[in-house]
Amino acid sequence: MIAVLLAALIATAVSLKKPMDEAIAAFSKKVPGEKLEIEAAASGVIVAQVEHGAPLDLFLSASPVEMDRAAKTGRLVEGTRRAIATNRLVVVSRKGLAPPKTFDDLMDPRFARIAIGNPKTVPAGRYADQAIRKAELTGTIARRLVFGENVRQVLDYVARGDADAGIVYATDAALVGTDVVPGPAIDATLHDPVIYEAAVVSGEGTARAKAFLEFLASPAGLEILAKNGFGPPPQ
Amino acid sequence: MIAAALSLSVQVAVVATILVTIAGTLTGRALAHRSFPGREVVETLLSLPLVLPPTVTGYVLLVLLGRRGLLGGLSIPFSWLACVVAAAVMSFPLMHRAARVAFEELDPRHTLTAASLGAGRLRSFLAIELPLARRGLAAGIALAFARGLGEFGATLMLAGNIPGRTQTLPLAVYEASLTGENKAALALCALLTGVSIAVLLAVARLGRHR
Repeated sequence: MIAVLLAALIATAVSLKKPMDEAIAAFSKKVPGEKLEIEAAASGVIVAQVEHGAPLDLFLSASPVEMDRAAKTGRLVEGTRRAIATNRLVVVSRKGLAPPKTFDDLMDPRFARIAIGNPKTVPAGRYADQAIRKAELTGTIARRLVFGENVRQVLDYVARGDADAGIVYATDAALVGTDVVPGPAIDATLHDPVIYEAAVVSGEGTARAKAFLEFLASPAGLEILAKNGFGPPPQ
Repeated sequence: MIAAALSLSVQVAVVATILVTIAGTLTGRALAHRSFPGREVVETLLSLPLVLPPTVTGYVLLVLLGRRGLLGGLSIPFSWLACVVAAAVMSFPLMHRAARVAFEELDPRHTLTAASLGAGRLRSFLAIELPLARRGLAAGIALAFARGLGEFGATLMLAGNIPGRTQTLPLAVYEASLTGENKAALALCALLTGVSIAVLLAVARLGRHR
């Protein structure tokens, strides 16, 4: 047999990209010789990849909804699905505009364009959409919404000033420079809880993916997530 | 969703094709039979959207046309106009190249005769060159229309993907494929493939009768 060094492919929700880069670096230091690659996309995009047989080994989803859809394919390794982190939603606005003080302030006409993730494919967009409906802002701002293909694109629209405000994760808002002004947190009761779930997808890299997931759920892994502003997984 | 996307796509492709037909015919005519320093550079710049990844073109458009861009006052991103701009920029090189070749293939004696009979350059262009180049121009128009109808990458960047507002047919295919609506995705693919085949057959016919 020829020994082929197969890398395990970690497919992660875009919002988890930075802590996953750090976790992979820490894991590789601890377990040398294990090769891990990373792909970052909207959770809805990764589900489509799982459905169509893409060779990825670990799925990190920004919502249980996408993980449920991935589970329906029968490709998830039984017993590996687990929650790994939680997050919050915040409102951000562009530089040069008086920032909103509350979520309801988004109704003000100065926020002529409000960016959220595409609710059909981006969990952050779905949570934002739920919050907008539940807070009964829909009537006023539905026509002002513009959709990003992932949560970082939403931030980018606000950073470039093409959108006046946006709804993103607290962890994303903390990363950007001075072009984006962080605003109020959104009441967590207005949307489904933001729970990140991970599961191993069966394939060549299953063993490596399992080992990495173990590391993520260990104190060292949880510390990397906490350091990046993510909440602990629900008990 | 499909009806709205189809209607938007047709509107966008028609408007973009009209703009591109005018612009491409003029640039094609301007560069035909012309040699001047930097001609290759101009030709390369005009053809750039043909070879650049559409996402690069889309990003450049977003940077140029965004609120803080050079043409920021126009407020183009995320609008109907953004779809038109993306489709027009991406299909322009096809029209330009088809027009240039069509004008270069004309027998120069026709225009010389027209000139000797006293026709000015504009009249010669309208009455002699355009009618003679019509097959080549029509082929360019058909290709530009098909390209505009199928435009995806630049549209996604510049116009976003907003159902009922900027979601064109290719963007609807993309979303349907991501959300597991495989039947809708395949139906849309069949529709777009059908239109594309019809356009390519029409182009082939135009070429044969030349």
